[in-house]
Amino acid sequence: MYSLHKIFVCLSLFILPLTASGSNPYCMITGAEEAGMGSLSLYSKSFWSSFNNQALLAEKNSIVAAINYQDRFCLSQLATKSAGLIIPSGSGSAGLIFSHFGYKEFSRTMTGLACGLHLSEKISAGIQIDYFSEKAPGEFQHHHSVTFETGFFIKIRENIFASLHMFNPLPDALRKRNMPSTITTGAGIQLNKDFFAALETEMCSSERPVLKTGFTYELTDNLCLQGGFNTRNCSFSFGTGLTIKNIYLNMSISTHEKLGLSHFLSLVFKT
Amino acid sequence: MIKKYSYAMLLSFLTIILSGQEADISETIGNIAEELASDDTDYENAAIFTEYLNSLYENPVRINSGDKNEVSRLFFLDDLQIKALIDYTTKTGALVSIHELEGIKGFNKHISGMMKAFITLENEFPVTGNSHKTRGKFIGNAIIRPETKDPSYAGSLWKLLSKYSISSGNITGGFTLEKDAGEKLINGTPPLPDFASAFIQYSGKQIVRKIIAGDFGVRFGLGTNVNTSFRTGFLANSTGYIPARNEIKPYTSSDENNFFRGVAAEFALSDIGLTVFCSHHPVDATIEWSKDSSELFISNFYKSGLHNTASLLAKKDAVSETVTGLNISYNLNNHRVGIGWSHNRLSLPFGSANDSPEYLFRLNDRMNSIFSLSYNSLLKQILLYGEISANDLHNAAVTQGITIRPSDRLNINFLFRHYSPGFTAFHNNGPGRNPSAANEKGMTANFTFEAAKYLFISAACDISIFPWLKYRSDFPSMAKRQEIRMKYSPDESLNIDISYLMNSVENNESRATGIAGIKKNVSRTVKIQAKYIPHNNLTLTTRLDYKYINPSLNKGTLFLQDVIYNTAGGHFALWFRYCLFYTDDWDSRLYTYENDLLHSFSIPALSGKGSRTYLMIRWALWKNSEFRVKYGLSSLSLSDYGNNVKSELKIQFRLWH
Repeated sequence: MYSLHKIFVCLSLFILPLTASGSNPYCMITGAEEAGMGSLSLYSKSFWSSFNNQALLAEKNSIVAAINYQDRFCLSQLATKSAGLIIPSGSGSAGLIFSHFGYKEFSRTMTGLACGLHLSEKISAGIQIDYFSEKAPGEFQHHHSVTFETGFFIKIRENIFASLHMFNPLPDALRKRNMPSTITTGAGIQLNKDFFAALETEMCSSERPVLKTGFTYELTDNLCLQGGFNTRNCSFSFGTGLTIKNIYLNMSISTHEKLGLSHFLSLVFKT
Repeated sequence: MIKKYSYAMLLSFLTIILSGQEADISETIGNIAEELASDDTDYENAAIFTEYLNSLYENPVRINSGDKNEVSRLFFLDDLQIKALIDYTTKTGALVSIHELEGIKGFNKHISGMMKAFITLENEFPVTGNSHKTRGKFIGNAIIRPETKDPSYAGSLWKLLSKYSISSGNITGGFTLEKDAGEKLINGTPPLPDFASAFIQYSGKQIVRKIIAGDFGVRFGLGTNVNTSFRTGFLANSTGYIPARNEIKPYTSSDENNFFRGVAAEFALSDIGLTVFCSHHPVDATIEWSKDSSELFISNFYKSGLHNTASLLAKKDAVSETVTGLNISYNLNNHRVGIGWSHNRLSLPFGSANDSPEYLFRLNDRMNSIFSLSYNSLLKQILLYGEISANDLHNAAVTQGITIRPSDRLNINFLFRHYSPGFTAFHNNGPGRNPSAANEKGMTANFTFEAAKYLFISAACDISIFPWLKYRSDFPSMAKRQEIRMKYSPDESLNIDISYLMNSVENNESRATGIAGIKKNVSRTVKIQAKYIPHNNLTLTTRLDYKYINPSLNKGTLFLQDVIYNTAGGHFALWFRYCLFYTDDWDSRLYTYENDLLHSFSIPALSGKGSRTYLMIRWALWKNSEFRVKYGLSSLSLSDYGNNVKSELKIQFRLWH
């Protein structure tokens, strides 16, 4: 019965007939650990996942700070720099994040304030208010926009998890300017103490859904490996993480079928 | 003038607001209604089906009553299941929990789940019976879609609906008033809303079982003769076919053309049942002059019920129709046989003498009589049923079905039908692909199988051949439908549904010159839905649909997230949906059922690139009243980076005493 359950969780996501497609440029944060796992966002132990699904903030029980750098296709003009802080409080946690993408002529910065709470033993929920500031040359000038994102994290079984996340779940009719929306859902399984695998599907407005799958494996107490695949541009990714006392360093790369490699580097400081 | 304002005040007062659909009802309705709506010709059937389930939800079946007629109201149960349920309650006493159902022969968790929203374990007559307590129910709906404004409309954009029913002892009465968007609030002589309907019913337990005066619906057997309810056997993937039953029912729907007006009665003497009805009322139609301008004839019946422009108002009540019918049935243990007759008389002839091939089999007369013979026979675990109907011109409609239950975990159905192209009936709805049981022969087979403790697999296949021309097919054509569905439900909190549907149809292929060619369109749809109830108050549903069309190779995808929240006492509930969709063209459109107001119906066709959002709240104002409001927004991305936005506001008030 239990294995049947696993099969169904996996099957239901594996058979999604998806095609490679684009993504939401406003969902800016991909930590190195998530990037190594095919850009999954439901790995509860990861720092950056908490800002891709705010319900995961509730799983954090110590003060954590982190910085992240990612480039795209080795182009510094397409780099994203991020910093975040998580502070636990009562049955949940609060988080603060800042991210900057682009260069002098074109940039997009995001500031987010998030909180996540345990609603029950099985479920936690979170919400984040985002403020975007965009700078572009010519007639577009500066733009400022505010939106929100919300997520749920569900422990279906002791070691089986499901997640739901909606970014900007507001129709464009309610704002002057278009901002893409995204719905993400997935399921993950902690097969044993060291191995976690997950599948996730994501659909961005005006785009076809994409499927993401990945794993993380703790080789030793200090070293872990990640791997993943994302149907968006048939992207494979690999990563490795090293823990040195209170510092967790993670590096990863992801491929693009035409444009080459992207690099990710994260540093997480735990108290 | 005073009268006009009185009606206006009545309608607007009545259209304050209300309801109480829960997740169970929406899931059941959604699965089936979406399937029907995805076939354009079946949209009406989906509406009737939704209305029927809503009525059942409002007036749940007393499964502990031991009364066959009462239990038979659960139309999706077959005779085998009804017999098993009555036998169980008779021998072991009343059910005390819905979970007990799963232990009854022929029932399982899937079926009990379907029944849950429509049954009560109480044994008291809620509406009819010997209790003289007066009970009443009122519903008022107001709906507006501002973007549909049209200068040619005769009235306001608000769609208003009011329904009231009251019962005391054996007497039940009620009325329905409705005006569609763009229609005048009151119109005509006498001044009434565009649609006004009323009934009074007497229910008895002796020889006279039921008498209805006013508006009513009728069904004889499998429905090839008379059936104003939804189609029998259309549920290709149901646990069993909807069996043949005779029924007269007060008409409470707002469909303006699918009812009779007059008197109907049902009698029973020992094992013999008699149903008679007589109806006369005006119906909507398009009237044309014949080629030689010698006479007027009915070109077609107008069924949408919309009368918001001058041209559509001209179709309103254009002809009158008189219908009489009679059905005698005889029950002998597990066997039942019925003979039916119906006769239609129109004030103008239907169709005119026309040499065009599409009119070759069309009835060209004012009158049409149909005779039918139907039977049901229960032989251990086999249910045989069938019906033959024929009209004056000796054109026939034949159906024959069999349901086999070799074990409690397996249910198999076959249904054969052969409807002659010349068979015409104005108020039928027989099993099959086309709403009018004509010009079709086909075979449908399905099974449902409890493959493992919590895993249900069902599959269906339907092949239909249309020997003569039909809508959008200027040649004999063929259609196929195949479906596989898996449902995994390990406990109350988790439910995963995966389905695959293949639909193949042959239609005209547009060509610039010459005779239209044949185009075969095949659509394949995969739906995956996971519903999770992590907490008593919270339900989360995620769904992904993918559709692929051949030969165009166009695709459609849909991704939606539902969040449903109920407060502990049920005083407040909230539904939120966010849905993103992306389809290449209209053929690859996708349908999603939406929670809606009670007695309202929403299965939008999503096409293009965009999003669909709605927020609905239900608030129990007092002990006997509810308020419900829904605000929905559809946003469609345009090629020039703009958006085409359509909004709707729906308000409902329900009061009962």
